[in-house]
Amino acid sequence: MSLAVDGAGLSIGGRWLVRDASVRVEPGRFLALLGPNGSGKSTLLRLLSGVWAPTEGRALLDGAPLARVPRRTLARAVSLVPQDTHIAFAFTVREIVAMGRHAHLGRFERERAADREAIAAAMLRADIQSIAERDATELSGGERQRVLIARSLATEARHLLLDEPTASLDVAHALDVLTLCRRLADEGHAVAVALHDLNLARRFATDAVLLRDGGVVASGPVDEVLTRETVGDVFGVAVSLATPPPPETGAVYVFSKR
Amino acid sequence: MTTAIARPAFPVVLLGLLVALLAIAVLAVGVGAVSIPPARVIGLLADAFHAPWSGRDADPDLVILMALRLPRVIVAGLVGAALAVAGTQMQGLFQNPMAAPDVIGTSTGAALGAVLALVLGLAQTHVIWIPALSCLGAAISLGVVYGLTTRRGRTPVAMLLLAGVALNALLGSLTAFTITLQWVRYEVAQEVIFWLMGGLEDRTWTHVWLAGPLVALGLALAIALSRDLDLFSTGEDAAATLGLDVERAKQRVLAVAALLSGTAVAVCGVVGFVGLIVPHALRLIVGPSHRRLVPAAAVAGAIFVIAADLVARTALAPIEIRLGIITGMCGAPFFLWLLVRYRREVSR
Repeated sequence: MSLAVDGAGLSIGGRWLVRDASVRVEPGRFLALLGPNGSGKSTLLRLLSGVWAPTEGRALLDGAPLARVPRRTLARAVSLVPQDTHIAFAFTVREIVAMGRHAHLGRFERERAADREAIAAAMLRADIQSIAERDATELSGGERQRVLIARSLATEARHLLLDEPTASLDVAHALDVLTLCRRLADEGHAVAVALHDLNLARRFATDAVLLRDGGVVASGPVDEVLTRETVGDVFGVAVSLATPPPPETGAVYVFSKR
Repeated sequence: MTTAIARPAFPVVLLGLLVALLAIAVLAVGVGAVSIPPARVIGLLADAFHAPWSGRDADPDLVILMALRLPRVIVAGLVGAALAVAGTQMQGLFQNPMAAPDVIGTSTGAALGAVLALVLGLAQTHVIWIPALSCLGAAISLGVVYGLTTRRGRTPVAMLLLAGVALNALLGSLTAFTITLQWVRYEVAQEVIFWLMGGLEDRTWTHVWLAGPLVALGLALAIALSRDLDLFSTGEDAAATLGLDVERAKQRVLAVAALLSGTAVAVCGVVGFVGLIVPHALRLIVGPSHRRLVPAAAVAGAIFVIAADLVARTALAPIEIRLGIITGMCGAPFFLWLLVRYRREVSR
């Protein structure tokens, strides 16, 4: 099981959003996609998920180009949690999570025991069973993010791609969501998360890709990618790095210097 | 703090709606200048079912029932179901409770199609031309509005409403222009005006046989597409990653919504607000899941138009009020209420 882009790029109207990017999302790893606004994090996730097709290079699932993988097969293997999802109508939380079974069900098929089990397991995993019958349009940001992660888990996809899941969350909810992502990676999922917060990336990710202007500047284990030099270079901020403390302390350890 | 959503069991709601539909239909065919009590209506219908009605030497009540009232009530039900389901689909696709066939110009496009069929002389060659061109008109206007207002699956409410105003004005003018050109042929102009004002007077079995199969087809397709439509409610990227072919699903939904609203306009002209009110009200009762909402809205739409037509026929009898006036009097205040509710979103 492997998901990768190989020399992939996307240009829209003559402008390259991502160019010549090679990134691999592997089982058991938590890959952080880092970089300033507009550096191509979201685009890269869309290329990896197959939602957009690259205009150069290739996106591959187990060596096969995503464009040739049947849509429903792809949905059962790779799931994207898009950024800042607005829910238009008053579905219940369970109804939203059940949408994750779309690629498992025929057009006129009803949920079967296996579907109900997958939905229940996903809700349990994301710790949202207690809000299953609530109105999904009235959830807090943290709850909504966990509901959408649960929906991706209900697809039973082994590759989970999350686009800035912590963007609108306070620090406690951000920690909750990333702790869940890290656990999923530890259990064998291949997880890739676009993140803004370098401290959270250092704390939770195993690997990182640093992007600038649509190109990959550095990639590898997170501690090797995030150095004074790369952060200073890409973000234009002088920083000092503290030794990573053990994850349970919750300490913050990228300090900016002026 | 949000609370759990408590919804009545769906089979109970659907059964209740079907019973209400039957009741209003029996009432509607009985009420009029000649009143036929419900028990007699049922008896007459049962007789007609056992011995097919020949039209000759029959009971006058039976003639009134079979030739005048029953086709009209059936057409009203078909139109209501079609408009309500088209509105449901459009609201789901635009993710917006203010999308409806008449509000965003789809019905006006259909009316222009019907008028062209008539004016070009096609309608006189085959009955299928009016529904065919009105469905085409609906499809084109719906496609234009969708293409203009929606970017990556998001449709700003204000864009949608403004595009609807503009398209309604343009298509209405084109239709009026067509009438102007045809004014010398008084009887054609007379027929043309019918499509602009909407109404069910003089509907016959021809209209039933024309609209029935098309509405049934549209309804079946809408039910088949209902799970796809659910996926649009969290955006196109999410729908795609869940395994939906977003572009194809969109085209299918637009085509079915155009088929239904075009068929409705072809047999009864532009009748406002049915596609706006009914889906919205039913969503509050059965929830937004389209597998439940589509069938419930179909039945409720039929009830609504049959009831509105009953009021139109009887409120000022023997004067008949136009159907569009009744639905407009119910619908326009509702639309304003919706606008107030979504005021923040509209002004953004």
